[in-house]
Amino acid sequence: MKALRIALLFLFAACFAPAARAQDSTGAAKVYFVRNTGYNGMAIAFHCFIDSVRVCDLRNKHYSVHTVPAGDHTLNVTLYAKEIKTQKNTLTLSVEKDKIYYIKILPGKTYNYGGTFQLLSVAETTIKSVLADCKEQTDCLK
Amino acid sequence: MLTALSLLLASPVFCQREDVLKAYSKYKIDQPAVDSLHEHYFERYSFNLKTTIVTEGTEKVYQAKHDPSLPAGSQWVLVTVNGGNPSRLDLNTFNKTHSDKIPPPRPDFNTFKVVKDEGGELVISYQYDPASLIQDNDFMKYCVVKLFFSTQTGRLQKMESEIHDTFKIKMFKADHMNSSVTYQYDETEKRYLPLHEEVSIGLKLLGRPLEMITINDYSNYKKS
Repeated sequence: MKALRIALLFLFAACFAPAARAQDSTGAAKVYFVRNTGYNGMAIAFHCFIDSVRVCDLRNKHYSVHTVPAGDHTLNVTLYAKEIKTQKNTLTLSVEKDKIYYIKILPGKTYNYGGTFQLLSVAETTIKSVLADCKEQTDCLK
Repeated sequence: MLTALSLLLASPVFCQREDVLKAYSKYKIDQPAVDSLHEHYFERYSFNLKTTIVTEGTEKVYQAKHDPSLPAGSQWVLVTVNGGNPSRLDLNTFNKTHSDKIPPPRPDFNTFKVVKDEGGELVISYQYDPASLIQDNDFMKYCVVKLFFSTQTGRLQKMESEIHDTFKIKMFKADHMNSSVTYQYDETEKRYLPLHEEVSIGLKLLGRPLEMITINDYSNYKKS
C-alpha cells in the first residue's frame, strides 16, 4: 500500500511538473521579429539579437517568435555581424508579462552595403497585413 | 403606424443598437465620454505631439506643440524634424496639413454591434456615417471601427479601425488600412484623450506596394 502511495505521488508529481513549467512561461512576454523588406538583399538572412544574444537568422518574408522575461530588453538586427559590439541602432523595449510585442525590421537605404536597420515596435493591428504575407521561421539558428 | 414602429423596434439593427446601450449600462461605461471620441480634442487642450512616419528605408520624426489659446495660424508649432531645425519644405508641409479643417467623422448608430462580451472584455463595432465625411476622408466610409472596453473598469482600452478593400486616399491607391489608438481618461473633463496612435496604409506607387506607418505619441495634455 505504501509503495502504491509512493507510486501515486510520483505519478502526481510527473503530471503536475509540466503544468508548473507551463505556468512559469506564462509570466513571460513574446517578441516577434518581422521581416518583409522587399527584393533588396532578399537572399541574405538578417541576424536578430535580444540582449546581445543572437536568436535568429531571419529570412525575408518570415517572422520569428521569442519568449522573454518581463523587464527591459535590448534588440538589434545586423546584416553581417554575428555578435553585438556596440549598441548602435538598438531598440530598448520594456516588456510586460503575457504581452506580445511586434518588431518591424526597416532597412536603411544602404543596408546591403553594411548600412543600418531601424527597429520599430508596432501594434498588432499595424503589423497584421505584413504578418499575413510572412511565414513563421522555426529553424532560427541552423 | 404602430406596425411600422414595432417592425422598426424588432429590426435587427435596432436590437443591435439596444444591445450596445445595454452593455454600456451594464458595465457603467461613460457614454458621453465615448461619444466625445468623435469630437476634436485639440480645440480644448494644449499638448506635445511626436509624429514618426516610416516608409521603406526612411524614417522622419516630427516634434510639435499645439496650443489652442494662441491665435489661429500659430496654434501648431513644428519644433524639430529628426532632431534638427525643420526645413522650409517641412514647415510648409506641416502648416498645410495642420491648417486643414476636416470635420470629425460621426458614427452611424445603425451599424453599432456588440462583437464580444466575455473574458473581461467588451468589444463594440460600428462604421462611419457617409454623410459626415468630406472628399478628403471619404475613404473612411469603408472603415470598420472597434472599441475595446475593460468590463472590470468600464474604461476604453483602445480603438481599432480597418479597411480591407482597395480605396483611394487623395491621389493614391491603397489596398488596406489598419489603425489603433490607446487613450488616457481625463477624470475632470470626462473625456478620452489619445496617447498613442498607429496607422499603417498599404499604398501602390507606380504599381509597387509601399507600406507607410505613421505613429503619433501625445503628451503633456493641459486644458486650455
